[in-house]
Amino acid sequence: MNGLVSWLDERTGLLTVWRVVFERKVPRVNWWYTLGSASLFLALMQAVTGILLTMYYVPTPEEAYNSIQYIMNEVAFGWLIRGIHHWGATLMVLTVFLHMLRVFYYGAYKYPREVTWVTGVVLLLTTLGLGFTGYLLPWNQRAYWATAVGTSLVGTVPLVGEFLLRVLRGGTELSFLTLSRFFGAHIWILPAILFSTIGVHLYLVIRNGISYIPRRDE
Amino acid sequence: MLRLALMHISRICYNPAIFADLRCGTKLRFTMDWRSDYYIGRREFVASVAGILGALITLLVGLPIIGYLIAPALRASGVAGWVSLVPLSMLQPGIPTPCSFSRLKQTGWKRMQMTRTVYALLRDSGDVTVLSDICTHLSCKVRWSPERSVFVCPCHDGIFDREGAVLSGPPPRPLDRFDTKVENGQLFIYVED
Repeated sequence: MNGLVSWLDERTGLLTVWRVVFERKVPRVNWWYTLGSASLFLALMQAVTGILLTMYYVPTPEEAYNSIQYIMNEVAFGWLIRGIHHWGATLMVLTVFLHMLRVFYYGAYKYPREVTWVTGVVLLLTTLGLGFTGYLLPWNQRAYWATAVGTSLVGTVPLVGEFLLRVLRGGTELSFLTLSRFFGAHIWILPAILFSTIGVHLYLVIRNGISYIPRRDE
Repeated sequence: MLRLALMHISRICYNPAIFADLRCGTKLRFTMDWRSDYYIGRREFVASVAGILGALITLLVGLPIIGYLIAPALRASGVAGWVSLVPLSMLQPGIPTPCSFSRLKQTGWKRMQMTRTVYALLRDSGDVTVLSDICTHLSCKVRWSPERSVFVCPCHDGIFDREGAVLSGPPPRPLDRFDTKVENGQLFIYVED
């Protein structure tokens, strides 16, 4: 064990990485500081379960609903995989939001952590985008009308609203193109943004260290 | 039982050989032997609890994933049975005649009409052989070539004669045959799936 670790360490610097990432000094903090890790864990769970769901899910108006019924009722543990993805999504929005509140109320966004905050905002918006695009995919009544309403909101933007609406829906109407592009955004574009931004976010957290709980006179 | 478990845990906790591996950083380089090194510290305790919980969660999700992935392989897609193929009078003696039939098959959440082609060979003696059109090499579809009077597989040049025997190429065995029966001049074959 030790031999393997030192063999790897000599060639990769693994122990240094381990020390920098996991043995860095942290101030005495409380449970609110675990929300970032909780969000990260949920993001990874969403990735794993989401990848698994694409094995059976078919993003077309004819098949989407039936394929999800198949996952829920026929595939072994399909209910579990989809259940984790469904509830994990809700929980992730919650943890990311609470994480933002923690950072906000402790003033942890201040110098030198402004860039961490900005990447965090990107992560929050991306998470909401994932929730919004994922909501359409079951292609049931609730999904359809929620997306009809949600995309219509974009149409109210002055001047470019009508254009943005068509970009979002892939046309003027909610159609198979909307489902297809929401699927693409949900499984490729947004996760790519999410995980690369998580990389930057984590780098900054490790580089700058985490803030301590502000004292009464600060 | 609990006492036994606790004894076991304490033996692990005081076993330097195990925790020498877990310790890294300063202690790894600081070779002096302290008695306290052999006790489990808070840091090590938290690390192993986190490790055990992580392993449990991985197992809890990981095992169902295996079932999830192999699920479709475990269900039958069709039902075996006799299928009406063609009236015997339609067959030309001595020449394999392509005959198509459709069956409802369950694929995932859909029941679909799947059409297959087989070759029926009526011999001069009056008995019938029905050959599968699936090459025994790597399951491409063979085609009867009237000019050459052989079955040709387009993928790797497998050649079969009119009885399905291999003439040349990579196929390891003759074309598969169906069980047949004739009722009121109508040819039936037994389809397994």
